Amino acid sequence: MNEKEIFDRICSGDEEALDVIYKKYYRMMTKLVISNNGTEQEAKDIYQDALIVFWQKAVSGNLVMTSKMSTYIYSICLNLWRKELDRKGRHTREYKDSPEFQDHESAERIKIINNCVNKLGDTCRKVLTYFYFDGMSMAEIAEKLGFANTNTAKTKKYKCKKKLDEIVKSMYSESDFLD
Amino acid sequence: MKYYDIVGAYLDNELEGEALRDFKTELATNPALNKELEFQQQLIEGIKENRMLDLKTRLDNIPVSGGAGAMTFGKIVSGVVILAGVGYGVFKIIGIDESSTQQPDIISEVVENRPDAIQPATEDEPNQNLSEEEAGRVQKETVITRKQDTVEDNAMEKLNSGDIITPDVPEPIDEFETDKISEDDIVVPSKNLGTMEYPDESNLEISIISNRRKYKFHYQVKTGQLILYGNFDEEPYQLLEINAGNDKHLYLYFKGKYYEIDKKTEEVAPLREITNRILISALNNLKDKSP
Repeated sequence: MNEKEIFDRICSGDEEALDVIYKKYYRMMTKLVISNNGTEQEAKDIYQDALIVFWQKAVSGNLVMTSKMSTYIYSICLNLWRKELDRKGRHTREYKDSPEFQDHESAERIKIINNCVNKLGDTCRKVLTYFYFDGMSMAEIAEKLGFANTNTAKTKKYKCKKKLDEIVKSMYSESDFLD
Repeated sequence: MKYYDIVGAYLDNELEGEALRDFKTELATNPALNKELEFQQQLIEGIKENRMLDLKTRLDNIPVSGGAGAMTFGKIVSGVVILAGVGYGVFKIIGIDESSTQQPDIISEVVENRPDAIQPATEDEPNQNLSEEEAGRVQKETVITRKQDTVEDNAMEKLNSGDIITPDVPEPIDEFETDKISEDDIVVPSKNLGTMEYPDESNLEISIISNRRKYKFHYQVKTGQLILYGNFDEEPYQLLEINAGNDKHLYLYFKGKYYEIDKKTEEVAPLREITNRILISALNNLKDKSP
């Protein structure tokens, strides 16, 4: 499988193609972080995050490759690691202030919703994640999940989101979210 | 709940034109609409988080051959090749002289100090008294050690650069660097073969004892006298002396071979053949120049 074939498969949402490049570039990308004061675990996290950003852009159709995939992923890794180093630097220089606290609150709420997403059925979970994270169109979702047409996918998405809304509100008080 | 649909449509970019403008106007003044918007934004973030964790879990389960910090099979093989190469080079050099591997402590100490001239040991340190054989070895070892450093440095540079590494094996030193020992330091015996020869400076008298069963090829230095045990009357022999700093080292040439005479040994000692090629070369040079 050559680079273009892998990229085309990733653009079509083929997760096995993502596995292929993950293995292919693992050492190259983690070396970037490790050789710049990062740990093995940090290197792995950064590489995975970078690959997910790459995946998201490729699947949503917002990526036109003008360089090699490795070059593009490498630049994402570099940016993410710079941000992380900057964040760590700030963390040591400053005490937790208000914005940090607010970030923490927000992260907690997102974690709660994430747990609620797992309570949805598999199809619902896929419809919502494909739409909101992968940026797939309704037509693509319909094709991927075997729905009759785009309208079916759209209706499914509406219902699934409504269901998630209900789960969250039933499990957590309004004050947990709307303070 | 009454804002659910309109907020959902806004977040899915389904509002356009006047509907979008009206929504934004309402948003500026309606706290309930703001709360619903914030809630749905968090729902979407939660959905994204779920997918991200899903993908991360997938990637986590992919076996990889280890990170950049891990030793790969290729690295291990490269390391073994380098070590073997360096080891072979060192063996080739040191292997020239078997005796040089027998006293590594002396060599390493002298190499560490990197003397410009070979210094004799004090009386308090008799074991460190360097013979010319050792001196030659030291000279050679100094060169060898420096070459080893270079090899290792180059290897490290190549390792760091990530290039393919092929070991650079240092060339064995076959040639003796004669300029290391000045001819002024060499005392040439004044007499020819066939006579009892020894340097004037040593003032050693030489006698030969050939009828001892126990000592067939031995020597003894006693009260200013060199006693040679064995059949030294059969063929001519020659004594050679080399200055080394404040000390002088004595060598016996007999039947095409050289033997070291330790002047500090008062006991009867066997004559041991010198195998150090560098020293042999120097002694040959000295012998050839003798009148």
